[in-house]
Parts: sequence; structure tokens; C-alpha cells
Amino acid sequence: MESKSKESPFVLEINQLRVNYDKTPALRNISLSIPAGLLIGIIGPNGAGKSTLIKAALGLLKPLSGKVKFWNQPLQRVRQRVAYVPQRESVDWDFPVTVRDLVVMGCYGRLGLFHSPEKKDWVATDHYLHLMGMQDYAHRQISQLSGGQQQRVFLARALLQEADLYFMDEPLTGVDLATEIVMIQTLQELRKEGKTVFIVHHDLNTVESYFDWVILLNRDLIAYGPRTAYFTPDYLNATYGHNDALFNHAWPFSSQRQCVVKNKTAQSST
Amino acid sequence: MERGPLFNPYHGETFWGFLLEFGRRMGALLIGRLSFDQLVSDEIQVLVLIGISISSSLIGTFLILRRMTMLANSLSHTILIGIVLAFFLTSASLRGQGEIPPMEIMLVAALATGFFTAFLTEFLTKTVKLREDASMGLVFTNLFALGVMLVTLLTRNAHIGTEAVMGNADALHKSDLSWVYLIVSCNLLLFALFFKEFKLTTFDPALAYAMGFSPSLFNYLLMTQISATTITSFRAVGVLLVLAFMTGPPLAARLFTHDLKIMLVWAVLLGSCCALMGVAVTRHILTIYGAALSTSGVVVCTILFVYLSTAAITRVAIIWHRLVGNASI
Amino acid sequence: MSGESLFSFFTDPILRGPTIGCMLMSLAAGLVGVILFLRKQSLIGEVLSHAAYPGVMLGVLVAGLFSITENEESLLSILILAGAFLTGSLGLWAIQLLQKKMRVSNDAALCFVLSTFFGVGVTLASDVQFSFTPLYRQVMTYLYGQAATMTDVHIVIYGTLACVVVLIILWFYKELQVMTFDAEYAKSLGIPVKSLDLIVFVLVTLSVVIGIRSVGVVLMSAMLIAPAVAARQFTHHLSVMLALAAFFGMTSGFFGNYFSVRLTESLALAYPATRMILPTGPMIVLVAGAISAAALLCAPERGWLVRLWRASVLASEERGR
Repeated sequence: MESKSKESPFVLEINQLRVNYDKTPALRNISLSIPAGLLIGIIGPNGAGKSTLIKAALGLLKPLSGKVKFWNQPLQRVRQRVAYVPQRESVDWDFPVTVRDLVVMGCYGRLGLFHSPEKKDWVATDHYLHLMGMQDYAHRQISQLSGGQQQRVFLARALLQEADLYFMDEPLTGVDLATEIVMIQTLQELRKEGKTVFIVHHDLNTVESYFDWVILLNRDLIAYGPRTAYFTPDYLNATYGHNDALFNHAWPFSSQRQCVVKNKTAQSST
Repeated sequence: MERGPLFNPYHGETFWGFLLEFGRRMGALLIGRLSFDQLVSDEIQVLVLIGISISSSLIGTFLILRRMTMLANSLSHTILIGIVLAFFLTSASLRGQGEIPPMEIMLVAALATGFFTAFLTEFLTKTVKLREDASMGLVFTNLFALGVMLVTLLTRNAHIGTEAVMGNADALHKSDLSWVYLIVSCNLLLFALFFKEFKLTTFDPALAYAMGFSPSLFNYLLMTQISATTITSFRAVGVLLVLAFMTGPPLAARLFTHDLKIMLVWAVLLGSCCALMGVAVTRHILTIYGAALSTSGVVVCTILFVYLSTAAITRVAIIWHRLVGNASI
Repeated sequence: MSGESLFSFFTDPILRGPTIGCMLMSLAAGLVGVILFLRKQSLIGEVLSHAAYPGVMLGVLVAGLFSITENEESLLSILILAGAFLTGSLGLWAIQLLQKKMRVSNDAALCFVLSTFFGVGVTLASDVQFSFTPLYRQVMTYLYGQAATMTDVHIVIYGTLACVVVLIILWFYKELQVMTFDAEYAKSLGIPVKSLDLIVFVLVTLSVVIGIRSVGVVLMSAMLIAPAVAARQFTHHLSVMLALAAFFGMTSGFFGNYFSVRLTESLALAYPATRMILPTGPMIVLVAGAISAAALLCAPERGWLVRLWRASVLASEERGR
């Protein structure tokens, strides 16, 4: 139990992080400080280094240089307070494991070596499965689930870790609407409890409704901070490198379409 | 051990002496001063090995780029069943004499086995949905085990001997030479005729398919070439050497080039050098230490040595480049 | 020797060494094979066994240099095992190096290491043939395996190996489960993935190196692949898969011995003039292969024939409507 008074106001501090993939730079000189209790969207085009940022922060990649601190401490000391939800594609879904067995993996770190999950861990597993609406699938093998269901199971596992900080790699990509709603509601609950959640996100349309802060990334850190200040055409332009005129011209149409869909009922739009 | 003419010009030679004598005699052969009948076992070994290395290096380059090398490993095991099959297909009179079946039958049997292996592996992978590495592993181990059982039943001897693996380079015959070079010509012809198809299906199978070429047709073609090359090399050097020639020289060539044509040329050159040097080294060791090592084994060691040397040289070249580049700033 | 019961395979002093030894070997191999299978590294066993071969020859050469004969079997076996372990591990290291530093693709690295190491082994074997001819028999013993000459000593060795493998898997079950499933996630949980990886590879190397005595270098990989393949067909739980792989392995080990002995007897009766002995190693592999084939085709739910049948039933139901 670390003394809270010694904790810095920032849950995550990254200082001059540089990551190379082979010889090419994947991330160039990233420095940021994030306070607690926020839903943060990591935005950027393909290859921008979004997943790399998360992996480097978690120590899954070796950076060229730079320091990462959680609550002003190195990761090893506070690992149990950080949870990771990897990308769905990174997993072999034909692995012999059921939904319930997958979720209970969330407590393995906490248990340490030579200890098996106890009754309370299984009870918690069932609780979080129920929260995600997946209790009926508890004994199914994971390849029998749809994309959205798989994502919910991943989230249940992360919740089991009962962490204070969550890194999620594209959790809302390619999921059905129902799943998206359940997940966002869960994440908003986490935020209410003062947790911090980082999400790699692709759908620019929903950034406004989901996130408090954004991190705009394109190998370099373009900007980060409150969404209202930094999720603007100028910064997006810099992030996605679009042709100025074309982007500014298209942007209002894009936001217009969103409104049109919301107001009409039976919609036959694309 | 040696069955050439009583006077073997390489007897007592060391490494450089061997190369010198070989050069001299090959020169004489080319200008007609020496006839093919006068070739001794050492030379036939070198020529056969060079032939095998040409075929294997060419095929191997494509295999590596297409990630099909383990298929070659698979085929090198299942070829045993092919040989048993050939044995069955040979006439009873020949069988009784315990002779090896004629090469034509062995070739047909090898091709049939190759197709069967590929077919079975694909069946497991595509239809039964077993992962590729496990499919391959199951197929070649079981076919090989079956082969060993059949050999035991047929020859009453479980010991197919290390000859299956190493061959008997000292028992080489001029007919081996003709078969090996026949296959070399076939391979060269195929690669020359279909070079752009092979290239396209290797680097962009999707595009190839879209353009009407079938990548899997060329996979099967390669597999046929592997089978043919392996079986004609079988008697000379067993199955091991073919595999080493298919991986070593192309990998070495790839260390310093990414151009397909250059890679092919260098793979062939490096492979042929290994063939020549390997036989020279074997003769050298026999002369100096009196130890008659397996020629194919020594050639594989040479291939390993050449690869490591190439890797070291390219590394040094890169570092040198960097130093020189930095110095000029 | 005719008319033994199944039971005698465990008690008869000549039969029990091969039988129990092979059963224990296949148990260990089957267990580690499951982990390899799930990591999509099934062919590592093939490379390991071929890479271990020069080590076997090195052991024999050292034995020859110190004038150790075949009579001192334990000492010879230790030298051989040590050599095999050394070169096997070297082979694994070489594969890593080739893939990481030299940008060689996985299959090319495997094939290259396999063929070159084996070639070195073949060269050393030819040296053994001329320098220490009495020991040349060891070449054949390890190349194609010689289960029939296994003794109680081997039961002890294989038993120990099997115990170690089982214990490690039991102790670290949950860690092995999560890191085989998703190594990065496991790392994020704080699990010591690197160390456990090392332990797994030591176990695999040990299983292969010790196992080649019974089924030989060429066929060893079958014992790592077949039981795992068969086991996967019957369950969605890793724990059950491990248990089944162990069971199928042991069954293959037993029936491989059983059939080779029985068939040898039948052949001796039918063709008394020949003294044909069916080799045990290939028989074990064929039994394991048959079990896998049956599992792949007929396992409930996952079996191919079962799936075909279900699909045709569904199709006819559709048509009936």
C-alpha cells in the first residue's frame, strides 16, 4: 500500500520516449503527463505508433530511450494497478480455453506463482461476466463467439484485475452497436470511480461523445489534452496529414451526416 | 573404397593440390585431351555434386522466398516410401538380385510420392483444418515410419543404413552423372521459361492469381522439381545434402542481395564452390589424417562454413561502410 | 516367448524396459508437445532431434578417446546425452539468432539448422566409423532408435524426466496457460515469461534428447506432434488436453511395443527361415499416427467426418422443409 500523499497528481508520465521498429522510428520523442479519472482516446492514422505507445508504456517493447512512470513510480512496483486489453487479432481464438477460464486469467498476476484461483476469484469472474452480459456463454470455447462478444470477454477480464489504469487497444473496432454501448457505459462507470482509461480509437465520429482527453499521434506527439481544445480540424489536419482544403471541405459534411442520422428514424443511408 | 582406375591422380593430394589437379584435368576434358571414360571417382563426385548444387540452389532460392522449405524436408523423408514403391514396381528378377531399381522407375515413384505427400498435407491443412506445421509433421513422420516397416518386411533388415541419409558418394557411376545433369537441364529450362511466372507467384501471389496465373500450380511444379532432384541425388549423396544445398547457398546469397536474378546466380556459384571445396577437403583429410570421412557430410560442413563466412563478411562490410560513411561527414 | 499376456509387457525383464521406457518417454513428449502445438512450433522437435545428432556423435567420440566401451553403458549414455543436449540447445539458439539477427524466415531457419547440424553429425559419424569402429553401432541406435535394448536403467531415466515434466506443468499450469495463449498479456500481468520460456525449452530439449534413444532422430518429432493433435480434438480445456496427450502418448508407447513384438512372432511362425524383427520405433509412431488420424476424422464435434455428416444432415433437413 503506497502512501497516497507521496503520489504525483499524474497517473502516467512519459518522458522523451523513443521507440524503433527495426531501423525505422515508430515513436519519436513522446512526452506527456496524464492526470487521473479520464477517458482518453489515442487517435492517429495507421502506423502512427498507437499500439507501440501502449506496449512501450507497459514494458512489452524495449524503447530506444525515455522513461515511463506510473504514479511517480516504475511499472514493476505498481503492476497490479495497471490492466491491458490487447487487440483481438493478436490472439489465437482456437486455443483450448472457455470464456470463464479466459476471464479468470485476469487474477493470475495478483495471485503470483504457485497459487491457483480461489473461490472468490471465480465468484468475481462470474460477476464480471454477468456485468458484460456474457454469463450464458461462460462454458463456450472462445472461437464460438462473435467479435463483439470476444471484446466483452476481454473487458471482463480486464475488470477482474480491478486496476486503476487501463490500456485498451482498439476495443471498439469492429464490434456491434450493443457491445459498443455496453462497453462505453462500463468505461464511463470506471471513470466515475476515478480510474483512468486509455483507448486506441479509430472512429473519429464518436470521439466527441466518448472521450474527455485525446492524444493525437503520428509517430510524433502532435498534441494531447482536453478533447474540446485539441480535437479540432487544425490538429486533426496535422495528425492525419490531409490536404488542407480537401479536409476542411469534407469535415463539415461529415459532421452533418452524423446529425442527419440521429434525427431521422428509418434510415437507409450508407 | 575407390573404384576408379587403379591410378587415381588425386591419391595423396592435399587441398590445393586437389584443386590444381582438378583444374588441369577439367581443362583437358574440355579441350578433348581427356575422355569421360577416364574420369575418376573424385571427379565424378565433384561433377555430380555441382550438378546437384545447381538444381538445389535454384529450387531452394524460390523455396526460401515462398516459405516452402519445410516441404522439402518433408519430401526428403517421404521419398523413402517412394523408393519402396519403386522396389515393388521393378520386375521380380531384378528384385531378387537386391539391385536398386532403375532410375526411371525411381523417378516415377518419387514424383508419385511427392504428389501424395503434398496432397495429404494439403488435405489435412485445408479440409481437416489442422495447422500447417502439425500437418506436415504428421504426414512425413508416419510415411517414413511406414517406409521403414516396409523395408524391414521386404529386405528382412531393419537397417536401411545410413546410406539413405548420406548416400554412398564413393559408389558413383557415370549414369548418375547423366541423370543429375538431365535434371539440371530440366530445372534450368523450367526456370528460364517460366521465370516471370515464378517471380510473380513468389512475391505477389494475390496479384498473380488475379492475373490468371495459379500460384498453387507453381507450388506443385516446384514440388515436382524437388522430388526429381532428390531422387536423382539419392544414390550419390542421400537426401541430406539436397536439403543443405537448398537452404545454405540461397540464404548466403540473400545476405548481400535482394535481387532475385543475382540471388539465383550467386546461390549456384556458392553451392558449386562448396561442392568442389568439400570434395577437396575430404581428399585432403584422407591424405593427411588417413580418415575417410563421408563426402556428403563434409560438403554440408563446407556449406555451413561458407554461410558463416558470408555472414561475417557482410557484417564487417556494413560496419566498415558505416565507419567510412561517418568519417566522410 | 509366445502367448504373453498384456501384463507380461510390464513384468518380463526383457520387455519391460522398452515398454515402460517408451511409455514414459511418450508421456513426457506428449505433454511438451501440447505446448509446442499451441505455440505453432510443432516442427521444433524435428529440428531439435536433428541438431542433437552431432552431439550424440561428439559423446561417442569423447567416449572413444577415453576408451570407454559399450559395456560401460551408463557412462556412455551420459556422455551421449550431454553432447546431445549441448548441440540441441545450440541448434535452438542458432534458430533464434537466424530469425532475429539475420532476418531469416522461420521455416528457412528451421530447415537450415536441421540440415547443417545433421550434416555435421553425419561427418562425425563417419569419423566414428573409422576411428572407433566398435562404437559405430551407436550411430544406428540413435539414428533410428533401438527401443528393444532398453533396460531398467532407462525406466529410471525416463521416469525421472516424466516426473519433472509433470511437476513443472502442474506447478506452473496457469502461467503456462496464459503465456501460451497470449505472451504479451502474460507479460503485462507481471508473469516471468522469459524465464518460463527458458524452462519450457529446456524441457523440450530434454524430452527430445532423451527420447531419441527409443524412436531415433528421424522419428522423434512424431511423438511431440501426434498426441497433441489427437488430444485437441476431444476437448476445449487445456488441462484435459494435457492429460489426454499424456494418455495417448502412453498408449502409443505401449501398443507400439506390443504390436512389434506380436507381429514379429507371427512373422517368425509364418516365415521361420527369416529372422525378421520389426522395429519398435516406427511402430510406436504408426500407432500414434493412427490415433491422431482417428481423432481428426471421428472425434465428436471436431472430427472431419462428423462435421461432414452433420452438414449433410442439416442440408437434408433444409431440403425436407
